[in-house]
Amino acid sequence: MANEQEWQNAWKSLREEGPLTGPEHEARQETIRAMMSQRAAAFDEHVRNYLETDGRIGYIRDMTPSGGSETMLHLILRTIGRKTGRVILVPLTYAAWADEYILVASKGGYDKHPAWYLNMKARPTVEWQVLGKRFTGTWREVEGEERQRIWDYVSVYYKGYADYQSRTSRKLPIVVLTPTGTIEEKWAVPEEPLTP
Amino acid sequence: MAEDAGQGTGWTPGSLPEVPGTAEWARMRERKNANSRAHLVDYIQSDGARGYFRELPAENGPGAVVHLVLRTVGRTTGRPYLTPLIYAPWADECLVVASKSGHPKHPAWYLNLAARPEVEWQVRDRRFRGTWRVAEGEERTAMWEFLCAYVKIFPRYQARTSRLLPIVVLTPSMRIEERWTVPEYAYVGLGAD
Repeated sequence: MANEQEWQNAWKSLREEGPLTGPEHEARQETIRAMMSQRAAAFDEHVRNYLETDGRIGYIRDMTPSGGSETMLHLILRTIGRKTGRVILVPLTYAAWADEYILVASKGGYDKHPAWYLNMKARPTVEWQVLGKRFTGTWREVEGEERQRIWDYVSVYYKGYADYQSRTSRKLPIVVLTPTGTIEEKWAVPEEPLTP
Repeated sequence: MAEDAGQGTGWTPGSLPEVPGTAEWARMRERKNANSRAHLVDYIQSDGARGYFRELPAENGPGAVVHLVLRTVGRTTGRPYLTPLIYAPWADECLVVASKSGHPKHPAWYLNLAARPEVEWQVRDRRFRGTWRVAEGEERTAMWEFLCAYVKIFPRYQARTSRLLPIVVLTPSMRIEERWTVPEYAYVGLGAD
């Protein structure tokens, strides 16, 4: 994503704009739609590269433009659309937690939960790929003391999370994935765009 | 927060001089060993609540890197040795680098590990028994490329030595319930280099 920094800067100035009305509001909505579509295209490219190279491209990524470090680790989460029933693959930053995987449903501090989180919650099990390995397993959302302990870790791992949290009244959900088995069959790279 | 159990030992990752074997090297190595011991004690006593992730200076790492404690058995003494090490997550496996800061000799933990087919390690509050392999060929190339990006200090360590730094892949096969205690005796890598 060559223009990640530009995208982040533009997104930041949009966030900082006050309320608009009439045509100005419409114009801004159009800009937001265009930006979200660019974002979807970047996710799409990330997933394709990851699956084609078993993560050699896309496992580790420089996330400094969005407040992370140069060395964030990534997995591909496979969910089923809760309305569409379609397979959805999303690239997500994860934090290692012994033999488990931590995800933060941050959506950049947006006020709504990310779609992957809502889709994941609709089923008791979930699948994900790390490098060339696919796992099936369970997920749990952590609370209380465990959440605090994990937050202390992930907010240092990805310093942008604190900023994301400050932007939204949502308490950012922290999800732990626990593998229970592996999946041998490779996932096909979808021909159509992965995200609408 | 990323704590620094070694505070006050006067050692930070990357502060070793570039030339191994000098008097300055020995001094810094001693500090590093003191840091390692403090880190180990804190990690084991807190069951990984402290010492699992620590922040490295920006020039050495990505910020917070994760650590495990490797448990090897002395190849001559038969005694258990615990060593805290930076590790890199590799799906469900762990990568550790037998760098010894770029010293000409392999670290003692690596020689001990190489003498037995199985090894044990602790990540946070979980202890594992499993097998190990030294990465080779294409797999090593992919792992090294990742490791150099993940912890910037590794290429510097490699540049100091003619040894090809062994990349050890730890594959868990079972969990161990019983907790470990830190040995009282000094050993190579932790106070007796």
